[in-house]
Amino acid sequence: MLYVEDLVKRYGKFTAVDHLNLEVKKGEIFGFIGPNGAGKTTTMRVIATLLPPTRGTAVVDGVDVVKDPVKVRGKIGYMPDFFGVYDNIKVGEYLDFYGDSYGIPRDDRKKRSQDLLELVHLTGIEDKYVDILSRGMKQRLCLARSLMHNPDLLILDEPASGMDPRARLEMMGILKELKNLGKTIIISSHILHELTELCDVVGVIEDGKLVAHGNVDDIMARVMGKKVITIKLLDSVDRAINILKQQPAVQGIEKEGNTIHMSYDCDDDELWLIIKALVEEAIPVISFTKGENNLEKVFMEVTYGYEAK
Amino acid sequence: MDMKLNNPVFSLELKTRMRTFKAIVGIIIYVGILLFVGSMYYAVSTEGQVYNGVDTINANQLLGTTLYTLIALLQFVLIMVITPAQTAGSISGERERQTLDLLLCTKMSSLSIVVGKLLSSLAYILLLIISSLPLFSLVFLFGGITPGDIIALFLFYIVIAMVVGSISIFFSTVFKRTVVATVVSYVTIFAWYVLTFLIAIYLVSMRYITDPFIQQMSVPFILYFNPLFGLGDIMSRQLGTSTQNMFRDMFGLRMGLSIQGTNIILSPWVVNIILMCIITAIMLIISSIRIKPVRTWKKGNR
Repeated sequence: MLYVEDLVKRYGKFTAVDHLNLEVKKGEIFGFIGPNGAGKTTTMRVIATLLPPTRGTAVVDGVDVVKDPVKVRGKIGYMPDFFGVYDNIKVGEYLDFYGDSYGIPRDDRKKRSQDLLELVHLTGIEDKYVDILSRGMKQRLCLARSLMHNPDLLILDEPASGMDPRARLEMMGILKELKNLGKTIIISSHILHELTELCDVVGVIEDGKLVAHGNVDDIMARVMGKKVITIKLLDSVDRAINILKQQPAVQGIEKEGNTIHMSYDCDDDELWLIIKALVEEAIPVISFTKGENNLEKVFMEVTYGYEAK
Repeated sequence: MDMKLNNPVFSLELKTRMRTFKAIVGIIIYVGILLFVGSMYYAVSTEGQVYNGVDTINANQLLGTTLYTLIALLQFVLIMVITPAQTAGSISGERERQTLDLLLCTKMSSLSIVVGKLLSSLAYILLLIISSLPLFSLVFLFGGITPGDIIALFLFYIVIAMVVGSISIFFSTVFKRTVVATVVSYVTIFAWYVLTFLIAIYLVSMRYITDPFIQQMSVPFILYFNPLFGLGDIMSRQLGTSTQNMFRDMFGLRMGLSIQGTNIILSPWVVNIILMCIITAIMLIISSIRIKPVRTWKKGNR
């Protein structure tokens, strides 16, 4: 769906994006992580046809963003990290205007607006003025706007920024619904554990370069040298350790009270068999946590606190 | 509406602009100024007639034409003042509201965005002009002016608003802040009026210096760029023989442009309107290029 090759974006002497390569498959959710000024927004803006690259290419569904930006715009929905509001405009009119700008016929626009408002949990506010909505509602409306022309690829730059926890959870719930609808999504966020839950693949960008890219567990294993799972038990810790030691994929076990930190080297297909073995032996397991705060660890490990110069 | 004629920016701007209290107050103030100046002039003039005991029919006609001239000039000045205020924030305002990116992300071309902005401002100016119609129709009571004259004048106003609006939109694409774009628009438009006139005077005087016995000299071409010149020509023609050849009488210049190979001579106001339309088109095209995020023929930094 998205293919970025050797992308470079310079502003004078400052290089915002430095030879970045990226591939996002159809239906995949790609999480973009990086410190402020690392080049996330610039990359997203190039893909959204809002910035010309200095070098390299970005291709959306087979269409080059520089060669045919208008065609690309029909394929992408862009949600920036800010919400621009026109004065004196109602919610229904707001969506209708953007639908019109994408050339959607009037009759379809009305139906589509209602469907999207329902999707983002804003039903019944068509006649309310946009500027009186809360930040969370505005963000969800902005998401609905980006979906008006039913794009295949969604580019969401910090979609939950500045939201309270409830609004953030609601936004993440909507994004999961979109994932189920088969949309391809590129999302950047500072709330890393939310990305862990949502994303199939993540990319860590620093100083304009993609320093890590892939499945969260794979990156974790690559960066930390191993995959880790934390198992909390009610009791029978030693019996559990004995069972785990018999599993060939288990590489190391660390005991901490009633908690076991286990490092392993296998895919999820095999990991569930290890957990199954514990449960079948009636070990009182309270919880499993796959590498707690994975993404934070990865982030801290691969970045060096770089801030844009 | 036909899809090809549909401009979402125009439709949105019309809807949101007319919802504001400011739009209504603007119309009231606009008509109020015209009414106040017109009625003041009428009161002073008729008072003079009573005391001087002049021929009523001729005096009424003179009063009508003078009142027409006064209101027409005042309306021209008001349009000059209002148009940049309406248009200089078109693009910079979108930047300030952070809505420009969202607009550029749609399938609308950058040209249709700037055209939509200009049309919506022109629609408001047109509304102001139309709201002044009852006042202009009072001039008919005194005679000397025809409805055709007023229609021609109003069309000229629209063209002037169009060119001033397009220049202001251009500055709106250059400057990020609306205040700066507005100030620079006013300064540029004022300089345009004054400089074209001063350069024309300089050219005429230089010509007289080099050839003191020149019989009939043409108006310097640069003067055709000055909207005041076009307005002066239109009004001179409308106000009858006494002022018809005002420019020729005052400056001894030959008016109009002849088309090579034909007997057609274009009147100054026609040339003026053609030039204004060309400037408008150039300004809109440059503005649209300026806001276009990715220029397909040029790969590199913006």
